[in-house]
Amino acid sequence: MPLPREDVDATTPKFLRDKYAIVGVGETAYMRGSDKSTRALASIAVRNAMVDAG
Amino acid sequence: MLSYQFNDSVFSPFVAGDLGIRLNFYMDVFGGGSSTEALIGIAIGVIEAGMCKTVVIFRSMNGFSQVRIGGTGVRSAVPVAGDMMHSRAYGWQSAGQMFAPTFMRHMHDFGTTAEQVAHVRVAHSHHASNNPKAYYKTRVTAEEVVNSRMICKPLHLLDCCVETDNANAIIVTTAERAKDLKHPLVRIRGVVGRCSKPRVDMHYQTGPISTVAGHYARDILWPNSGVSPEDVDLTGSYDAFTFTTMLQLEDYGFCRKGEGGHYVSDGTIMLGGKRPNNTSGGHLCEGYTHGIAMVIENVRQLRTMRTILARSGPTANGSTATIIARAVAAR
Repeated sequence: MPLPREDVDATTPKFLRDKYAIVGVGETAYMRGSDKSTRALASIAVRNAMVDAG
Repeated sequence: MLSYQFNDSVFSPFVAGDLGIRLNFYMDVFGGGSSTEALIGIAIGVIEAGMCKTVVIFRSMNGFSQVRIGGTGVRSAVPVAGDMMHSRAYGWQSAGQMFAPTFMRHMHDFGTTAEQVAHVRVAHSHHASNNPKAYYKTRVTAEEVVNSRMICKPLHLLDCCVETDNANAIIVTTAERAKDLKHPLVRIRGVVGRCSKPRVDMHYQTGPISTVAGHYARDILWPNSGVSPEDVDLTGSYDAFTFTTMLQLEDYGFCRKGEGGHYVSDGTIMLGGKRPNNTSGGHLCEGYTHGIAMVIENVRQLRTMRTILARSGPTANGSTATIIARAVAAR
């Protein structure tokens, strides 16, 4: 199988650098035996991220 | 809203509905450790395309109580089909088994020792001991790591990450929109996601097999971000195993190829060292989240420090993802 070229430039337009930001982060506890569905866990984490972002 | 999963989690529209949010864009993709940064890139793309203004990315998993790694629990009932017809012939059921030849080759070619690599666990356990959220908070020594029971040569029990139940989320928007928010701005300098090796199915056909996909991804990452490894003060790496951290840091250029064993054991990656790695304790100690928790930890570090961070993550089949973020007034 021919290998792909290694000199392909896949880099981004420079105008995107620093244009975007991570503004909120959220977690649940890290546990064994959450007794919650992934749906409930996700809702908690997403809500925590929104609260964190303000 | 974006998420990633292995048929082991919930889809975005359900979570949004529970939270009372109507979505202008949603997508749930299949995948694990290479997904977080790939989705950050997609989030930037869809905002840039005018499809929405802010994106939340989540990963929710009951990685201990529902779907564990390997062939126990739910997975024991999965029939052997498709690609597994091939990999099972070699006894490859979980990531540790699939990665083992890569690790062994690195030890063979470069003289890397189990004791050297065990220092990844030592460093991360020290970091976790400062983290109230961490599942394992006890500090360990390199001796304890290499004396723990062998799981799959050269991986001892303590070379492997912890399996936990948890969910994590991050929110991406434009820096312009973020100006009014309460935290110091954490900007995305550049991103590469799911950059693969020449083959991702049978990647051992393309040598050297001790190379991970960061070898290719770095040629996108560093030009995108406009910085070099020497500019980075703190790293986050995908520590599914102690060895994966070493391989990533090596192939992204934080040390020369083959010198990873020395790099992770000489104090560089410890808090107080030149370039600490996984300051939360990572997947080895804090909890297993398929990579997203490293981004969260780096964001938190950036909110309080003027520094530059990198995060990387290859998966067993060689795909890789990395992000670099940086505070407003970073040097």
